[in-house]
Amino acid sequence: MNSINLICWAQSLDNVSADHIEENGTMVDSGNKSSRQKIVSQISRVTSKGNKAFSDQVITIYLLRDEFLIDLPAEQKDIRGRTAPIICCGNIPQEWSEEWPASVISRMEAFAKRIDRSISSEHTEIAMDMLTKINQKKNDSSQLLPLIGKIGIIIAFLICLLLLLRR
Amino acid sequence: MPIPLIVVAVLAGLGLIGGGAIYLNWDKIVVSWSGKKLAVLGARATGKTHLMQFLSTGTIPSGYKQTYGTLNTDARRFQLRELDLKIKKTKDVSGGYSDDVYPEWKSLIDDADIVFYLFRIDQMLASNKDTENRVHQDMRHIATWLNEHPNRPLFFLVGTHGDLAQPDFTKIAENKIGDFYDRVRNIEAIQDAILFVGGAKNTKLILGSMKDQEWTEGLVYQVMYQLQES
Repeated sequence: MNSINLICWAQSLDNVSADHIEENGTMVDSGNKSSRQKIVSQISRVTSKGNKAFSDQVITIYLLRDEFLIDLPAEQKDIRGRTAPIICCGNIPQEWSEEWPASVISRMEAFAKRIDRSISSEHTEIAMDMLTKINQKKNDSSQLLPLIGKIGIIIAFLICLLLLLRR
Repeated sequence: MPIPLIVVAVLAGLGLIGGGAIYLNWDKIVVSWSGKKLAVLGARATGKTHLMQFLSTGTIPSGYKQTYGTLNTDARRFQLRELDLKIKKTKDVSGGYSDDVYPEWKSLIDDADIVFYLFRIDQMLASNKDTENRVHQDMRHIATWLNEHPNRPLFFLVGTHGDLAQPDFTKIAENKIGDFYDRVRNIEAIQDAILFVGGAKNTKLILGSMKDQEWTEGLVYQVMYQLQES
């Protein structure tokens, strides 16, 4: 599978320090304003304009055209006792990929470990299942649309032919 | 030459879909057109999501989670005691690390009729330097965006967590609440904040607590009362 671009984000647990941002496996320093703002804007766009493809009060997945965003809770809470989500955002592959769901989860787990947090296996299993379904659905619709288009053209051609012959 | 039937069918289908979408969204369009659009801003853990949920559903959250991205809230006609206010669909944003979120905040202000900036009364009265610096930095930016706005929104400075600032906050007598307000107004960062946005005439200061449903209603009532008076 070609390398995929993934962004990971997590708010600091003390609610004061810089939030943790990683792009394609590399941490984005708090001084790198333009990259960080671009990433935060991407996360905002997907959450505000996208649809909730899955939500069970713990895990949420947003979809916006070819983009996805997944929110998994870390096992650690913030200083106020609030749930601290780990976010991953990127593009869904154009073609079916058996490795894609696992690569997203693996990236999130590695990011969590990097910032001294962890994600429960119960949550990663549910997330893996949901991402697999999303990838499968996307693959199905990307094969279905050209087929519907072809059938539509054939029907339109036959109707026009029939009308011409009846004259 | 007669139009092929398939073309007629497609056009009719598109008409039905478009008309249906407008019909189904009519209520939201009507509420949005007559309502106010809010921007609720503030550093992390100041109560933005709590306030947004209350304004959009009338209830306070049962559990709490750090906010990420930008989450949409529905338009609502809001009635609290004798007050009546229609609120447009709006967005709950992350408090985030300041520089990261400023473009999103600006975008929210550009679209807003009313801007709330929430701050922690308890941390400000305790002279928490991180909080003071954050309020100072946020307000400098917010003041710039408000000044650049073609139709300057109403601006509220809303102090939250009053119950954590003073144990007997919820029992402060009416004739003593002015002293509490003076304590907060005398904080340098608050004085600067009010100055940045053009002085007391351009800022409404509201102090309160959202520790439970009743106190959240009380804080929001204060805000809504001031809005009706504006």
